[in-house]
Amino acid sequence: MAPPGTRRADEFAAHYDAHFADVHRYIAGRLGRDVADDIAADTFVIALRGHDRYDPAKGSVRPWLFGIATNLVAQHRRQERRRYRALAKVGPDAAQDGHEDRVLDWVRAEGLQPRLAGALRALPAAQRDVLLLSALGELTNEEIAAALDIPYGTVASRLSRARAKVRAALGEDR
Amino acid sequence: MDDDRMIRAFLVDDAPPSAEVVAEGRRRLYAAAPPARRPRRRPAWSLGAAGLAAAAACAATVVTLGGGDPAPPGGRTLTASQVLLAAAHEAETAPPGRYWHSHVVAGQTYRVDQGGYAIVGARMEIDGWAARSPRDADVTRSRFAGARPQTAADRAAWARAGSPKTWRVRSNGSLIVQRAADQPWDVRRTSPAAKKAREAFFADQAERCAKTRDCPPSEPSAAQREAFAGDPKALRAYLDAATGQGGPSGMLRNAAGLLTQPGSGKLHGAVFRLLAGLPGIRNAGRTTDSEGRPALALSARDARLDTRLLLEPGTYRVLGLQDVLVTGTEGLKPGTVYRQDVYLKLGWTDEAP
Repeated sequence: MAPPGTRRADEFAAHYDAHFADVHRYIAGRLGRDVADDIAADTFVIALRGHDRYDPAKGSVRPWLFGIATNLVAQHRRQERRRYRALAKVGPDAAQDGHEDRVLDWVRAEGLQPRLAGALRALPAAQRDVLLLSALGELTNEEIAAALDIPYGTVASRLSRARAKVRAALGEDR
Repeated sequence: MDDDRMIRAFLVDDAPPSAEVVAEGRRRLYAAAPPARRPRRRPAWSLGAAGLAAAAACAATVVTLGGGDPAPPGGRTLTASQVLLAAAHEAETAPPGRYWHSHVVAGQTYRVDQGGYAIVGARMEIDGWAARSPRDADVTRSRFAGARPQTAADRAAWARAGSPKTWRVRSNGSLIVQRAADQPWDVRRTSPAAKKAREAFFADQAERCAKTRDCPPSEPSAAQREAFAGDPKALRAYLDAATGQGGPSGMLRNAAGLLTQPGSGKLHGAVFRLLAGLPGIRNAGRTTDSEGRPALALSARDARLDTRLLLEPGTYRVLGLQDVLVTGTEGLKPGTVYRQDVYLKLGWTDEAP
């Protein structure tokens, strides 16, 4: 449902329409749905106000938005840690799981929730940002580099360290 | 990447943000004034006014007199294409004004389980004045208007249920609250300077886009829309592909998008003419809209929804766009108006905001 007057009103509204659900999902994954409603909206307001810092040379609008979202998430570290603690006890409501539920079933069946949640909580913030931009935001390494304004090599190394820690926590030897 | 999938499945449930959350975010975007006072080196995006300064290139409309509502020959119902051609004629002869005034209330229908009736909620109301001249400011007022029972029967069931002023209803799988109270208006004025800055920003962005091929998703500009008036092929391609799944209902919806944005009579006429030549649009006859206004309904349906463009009899002004349920959903019966944009005012005017 979108009032046509607004949807077409402006170019920025098109960015909003194109990316809001994805940005919301990223934030909801890290901070929970309730908080995400607000912070996802804030992301776009900040983007709108700070368009003068948007540098197309550094990539498309998408990583720029995820970079803003990541900065906002960083202001809610305590909330994020609380969420991982809660998730260690129960996963998201089973009724709401979608197409990826088989992976989740496996995590649950193996009783790995506490370990996975604990691993995410224990990651250094810089590594967690990179890991979750990849896992939740589905950004490529190049996009993550643009989002966080860090070199590509740094993204790759943080990502591999973060993944190694998660695997270690799950006791996998892959 | 398997790790990514696992983490995603662990942290995310698949339900997208609800329509209300999306609408609220958009409302906040529109309410976000550029920082006051701070001088800006670069142009400000100032959002708000419904649409960019209306077609500076508002191609001169040829004013002819006459026309109007063709009488149904022998009392027979007009075909959709007859209605649309009459609408095209009216649009082409309508004079432009100082402002494009669009006052619209969108709405989404929800079933209230306790009492078994329907309400229209998430009623985003936007009263936008887009000046034709770059020397006039644009003004946009917006708010969430309160939810209300949908039909007279719903109103009666609501009264029987004790006339509650808030409701918990299901939206995309989660429960949300709707309230009968209107929220306060948010008023934004976009000054001529801010409009100029916005134009410059978009021009800048378009230039970069051409150079770097890194292009944000974009709606056609006012000038690009005006160009459709003389290019039916491009217009048709746009209606078919702009958003949604295409097909007659998608085209009707995109056409409504063009008809409700500032544009010349020539453009709006061209949109009606193109619709007149499309198969799959039928005249659903006279109806009454949610404000009780008589309306002509042009309809295109797919398996799930009957999309209806409502026009005012005689003037053929757009009164609204509705999605009517073909099959029941979420406890709502077939025939229920499921989503709607109601235009309380739409068109060029010399009145000022």
